[in-house]
Amino acid sequence: MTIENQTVNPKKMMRYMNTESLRAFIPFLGLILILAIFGIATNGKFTSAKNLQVILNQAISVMIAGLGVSFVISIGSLDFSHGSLVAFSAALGALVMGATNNPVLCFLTIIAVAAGTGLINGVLFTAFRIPSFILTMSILFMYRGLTIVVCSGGTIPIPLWMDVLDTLEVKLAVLVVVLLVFNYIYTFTKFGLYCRSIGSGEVAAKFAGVPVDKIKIMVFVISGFLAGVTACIMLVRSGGVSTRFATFLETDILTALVLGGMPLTGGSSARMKSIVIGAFMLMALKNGLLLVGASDKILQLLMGVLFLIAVAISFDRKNIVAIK
Amino acid sequence: MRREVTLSCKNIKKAFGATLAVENVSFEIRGGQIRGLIGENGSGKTTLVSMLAGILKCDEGSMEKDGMQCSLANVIDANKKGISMIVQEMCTIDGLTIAQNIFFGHEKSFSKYGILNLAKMNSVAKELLEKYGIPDVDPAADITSLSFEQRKLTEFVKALYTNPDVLIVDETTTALSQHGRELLFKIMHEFKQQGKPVIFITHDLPELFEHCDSVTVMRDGKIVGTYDIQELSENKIKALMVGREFEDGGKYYREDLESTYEDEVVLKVEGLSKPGAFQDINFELHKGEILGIGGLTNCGMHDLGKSLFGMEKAESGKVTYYMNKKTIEVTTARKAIANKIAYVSKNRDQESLMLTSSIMDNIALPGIDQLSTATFVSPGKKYKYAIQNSKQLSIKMHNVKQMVMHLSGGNKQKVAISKWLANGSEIFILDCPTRGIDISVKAAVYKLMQEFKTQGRSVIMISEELLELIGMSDRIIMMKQGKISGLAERGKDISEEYLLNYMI
Repeated sequence: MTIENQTVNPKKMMRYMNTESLRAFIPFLGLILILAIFGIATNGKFTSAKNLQVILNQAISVMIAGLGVSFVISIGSLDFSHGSLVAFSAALGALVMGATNNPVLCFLTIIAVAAGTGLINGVLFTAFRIPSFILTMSILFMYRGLTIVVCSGGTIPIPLWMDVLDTLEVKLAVLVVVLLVFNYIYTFTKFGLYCRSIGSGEVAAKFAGVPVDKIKIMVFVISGFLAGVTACIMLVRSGGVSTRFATFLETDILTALVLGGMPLTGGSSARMKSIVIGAFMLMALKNGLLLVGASDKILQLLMGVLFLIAVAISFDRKNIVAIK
Repeated sequence: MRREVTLSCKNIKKAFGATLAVENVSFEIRGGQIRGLIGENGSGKTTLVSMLAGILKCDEGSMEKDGMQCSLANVIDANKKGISMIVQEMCTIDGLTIAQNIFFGHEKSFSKYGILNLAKMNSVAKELLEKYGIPDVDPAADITSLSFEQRKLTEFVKALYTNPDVLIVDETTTALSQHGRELLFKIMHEFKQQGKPVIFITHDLPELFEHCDSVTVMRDGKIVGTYDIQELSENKIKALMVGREFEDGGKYYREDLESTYEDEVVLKVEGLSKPGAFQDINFELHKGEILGIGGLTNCGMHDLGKSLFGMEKAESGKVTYYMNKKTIEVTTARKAIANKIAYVSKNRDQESLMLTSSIMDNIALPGIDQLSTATFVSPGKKYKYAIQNSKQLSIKMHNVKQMVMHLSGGNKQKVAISKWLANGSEIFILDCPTRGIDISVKAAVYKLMQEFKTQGRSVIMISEELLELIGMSDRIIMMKQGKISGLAERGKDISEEYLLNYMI
């Protein structure tokens, strides 16, 4: 036995603290960089108030749905069911709207279906110990299949008048409420601490009295619930549901989270702000690339390259136990 | 003329983090003899032989075989250089067939143009299995279809078919039936007759005397000495294992030599059994008592600790706590924690700490209910709570928001204990509380345990270190193969030799 390693080396500590706080700023720097580069390249067209509104409008769905996924990631799991879950619940909502002409009933149906699916995800995840990624990907396939069945006649429309709800003000209000409530839950409640603890060390959390399975199920319900809220917003925006409704939403969310600096391993360094800034960055990138004249054909390729660079710069390799 | 194989190592050193497992060990063995290797848990036996067999890399030092420099890249390299080891734990790979397990790493000899001749592999495996007395086994079957002992025997075949020059056997016999043991001893003696050396680790003294020609004793990562078997008696071996360090270590332990605790019973364990772990455990814990539980690593005491905390379900029996005039049957860890029962695991990094969380979150977690009003957990309150409780054990850190993973072993242990001090626990179940921590932290833990005593709190200390058990406990329960084998009350005539009798 030796007594070395006992004292903390202050120099080393400072360096560690610096890189740590620096890393938290990388997403912000990235966003500023994106704004600056595209702003100059498009002679200010990109940074015009109108265009920024367009970007925000596109980013809101990813933010709200991604907030739910952030909870799932904080416990070290993943919810990859979103594109189809949103589509299917919106389709059922549109059917209810057609039958009852009652928007409240329509929205409640959507949220109930989505949150209910979250519950199913959570129960299957904890009871059968299926890896969350595989489980939710299966749901992704199944629900896309169900959406195609439900939309067999083409598009399921909702009444034109519902268009009045599709304003930036309404959406911003929803976003702000959702952000305040769920950031509060994550940052300032016991539940939030339990989530981070499970992500940091599930076994130790259990030994410290965290009801692990219960928390896991609740996290998936939250994720489903927020997918439902997103489905309502997207349904109002598009005026109906077709078979390709909300495709690739799950990929967008994951991309946004990584761009925003979310550690995919979960745990204590997971923050809710990641999805907000990440979603905005993602939509700004897409928008900017189109504005400078990148064709649809190479957009995906460029996105992939930028994504890889972003991860290489911001990924925190030091503070995780294993790279899976 | 028979060839004499020799194996030696010089100044070998191996550290795990801050803990020195093997320190400057030099070791030599000549052919034609069986060398026993003995020492207490954690004395470095397994670490030493693991380095000799290429399983672990040594930090410093060199090895020679037959007088030639010999460095081992890994186990397969060691096999090729003629050194084979049968390890303590189960080391077969599930999902592979028996034949694939036997020839793991040596598939090349069965392949042509990159294609593996499985039929040939299976038939060779069949021959080997029969040669070593394990007939009626289909080598093409999955290894999981075999019983525990049969799998262990398969490992023999794996270790032996390359016809190695040196055989190392690490504490295998406890897992074997009489038949398996006889087979193993036969193999060991064949090696000896061929002029090859065998290193044999065991805790079973009669076995040692029956089969070994000489014995090397280890203590605290060092070699105490090597002796001819004729020079030794069971008592002498025990004395050598224990050493004369008792006087030195004494000052960290309690100074009183009498057991002192109140009559009030706070925990009663009745007929607690869990197949494969422990059987028919009965004891009582009193208010203000430090109850030691000792034995070998796999004697069931670690599982017992988890069961008392509600983390592992026993199959039968009862665990009842009597606290604040209430009778509590603990069925889950949550219930245990709510009733102020604390558990510090032997497996610190997995079960005691969330490594990538802050010191603050780790400390706050069990007592979080005290910090919340309705749904709100005040960050300010949590911060103060963490600062306050980290001061009690003076955790050396930058600040409480620092991640636990960057702390040293001793400071990690302080965090693991602090969280239970913070929530005001009354009964502490400490599993190997001083494992892998340095002397100053050890002393702090011992001091804390004595404070618990005077405050009327109770401690169950599960430990693999006899000195610590003797030094701290009011009473000591010794366990052997899942059962309680003895009970000793604190007093000056309790010696390590005495406890060893109940342990092995």
